[in-house]
Amino acid sequence: MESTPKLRYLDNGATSFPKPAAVAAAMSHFLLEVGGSPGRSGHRLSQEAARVVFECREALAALFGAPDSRRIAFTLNATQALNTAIYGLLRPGDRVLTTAMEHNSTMRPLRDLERRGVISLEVLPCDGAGRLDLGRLGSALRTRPRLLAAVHASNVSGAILPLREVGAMTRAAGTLLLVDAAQSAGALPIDVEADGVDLLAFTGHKALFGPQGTGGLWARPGVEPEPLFRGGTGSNSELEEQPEFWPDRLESGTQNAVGIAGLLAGVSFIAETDLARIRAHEVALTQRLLDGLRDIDGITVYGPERAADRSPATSVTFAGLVPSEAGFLLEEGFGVLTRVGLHCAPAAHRTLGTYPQGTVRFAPGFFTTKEDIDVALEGCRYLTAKRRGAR
Amino acid sequence: MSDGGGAFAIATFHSTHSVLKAEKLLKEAGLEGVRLVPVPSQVSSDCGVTVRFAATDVARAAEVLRQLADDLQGIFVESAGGWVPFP
Repeated sequence: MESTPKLRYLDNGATSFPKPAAVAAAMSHFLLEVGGSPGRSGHRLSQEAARVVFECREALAALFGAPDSRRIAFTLNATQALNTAIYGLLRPGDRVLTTAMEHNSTMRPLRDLERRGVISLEVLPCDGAGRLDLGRLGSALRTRPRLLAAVHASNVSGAILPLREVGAMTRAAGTLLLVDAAQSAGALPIDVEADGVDLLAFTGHKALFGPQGTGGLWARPGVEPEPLFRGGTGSNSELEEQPEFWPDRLESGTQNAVGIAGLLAGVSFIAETDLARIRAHEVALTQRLLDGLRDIDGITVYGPERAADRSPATSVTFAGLVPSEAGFLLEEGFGVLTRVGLHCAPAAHRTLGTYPQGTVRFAPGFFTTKEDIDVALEGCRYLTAKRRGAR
Repeated sequence: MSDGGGAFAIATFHSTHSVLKAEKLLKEAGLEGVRLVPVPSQVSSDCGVTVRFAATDVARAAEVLRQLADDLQGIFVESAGGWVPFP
């Protein structure tokens, strides 16, 4: 451990790294060769920029099974998309359901509306692995609440919401389904039509391989959230009122076109590589990680048993070692980069029983290797052995 | 406005998104010489660009663009220096 160990990036739940080379190339090309303001001026560079934004919308619509790409509005991230959906749709007196595994990007806006007396909120319980209790969901839907806001893949336990089943339930109840796809967009199959989704919030910089500062909100026609911001859209410029039509309705101000150029390359990378192949690789790595971790005395692994039933985010705790210290030692000694603590999801940690110290989260991605996993496991074995020796 | 050839037609839309979608659909339908141009001053449009094609293709274009009907503001054919709504 004398020299600095090679870095093993296992923090793809926070942001995917590295990005495909094509993503960096597309952004460089945009900055050096395209560079106009999309949809603002008539000249060729503005048109070219608008075309990039358009093509990215089309590619995302194809990926999510959305019939009309106009219904995707770009945002900075999943947080802005979730805030647009929540503040833009919910009205005084609305009853709202959510789950005990939500990230604060959903929970904080909902708790804010609840505290201010705008909505009433019911948080549905999940089991110790983070799986939603569908029986409780069924009973709660009987009173026909306005909205269910639910995370597709937990960023803490990796638990996956059975989207199609839940979508069929909300559709039958006439309840809108808002899905937080921050971890799942690009990693798990999503078909908004078949899955019965009404609003899909996603980020660009995780499994879609785009840069930070990209994301979006898709909503079914007829589901019309008010914008969080109003301003210039390059359309209806003679009017002092915000246009009603998508995507302009939700896209005021100059868009992050360079980021969207990168996101387009990321989504194209998924289409070329094939989502099923990406998923198979990540499942294999996650299974290797789970098997190795479960063999180590002094480590508790959270979340569903089989990698095939979960997303790659894998949380663990070490007996007698706080997560922050374990994470520090894994990086110092083995170059293993994890995320420790509460992962902006205190509700999820309460559900798993890991609040308030949180967990150490390993999140393999498409560019993770078996060797990365093996080094992480070696690090975990070293930490637990050292701990036992210290007693 | 004519580039040393026949007259043009244009289709105007509320959003830039639909102008680009129209460009893509018309190219996919095999129309020649489809391009984005600034909206002519005699025609009003909600966004600054419009999609232009040969006037001889206007019936075909109108058929293709029916799938964007909810966002289409109008189709115009160049005539004697002005723009006449189609049909």
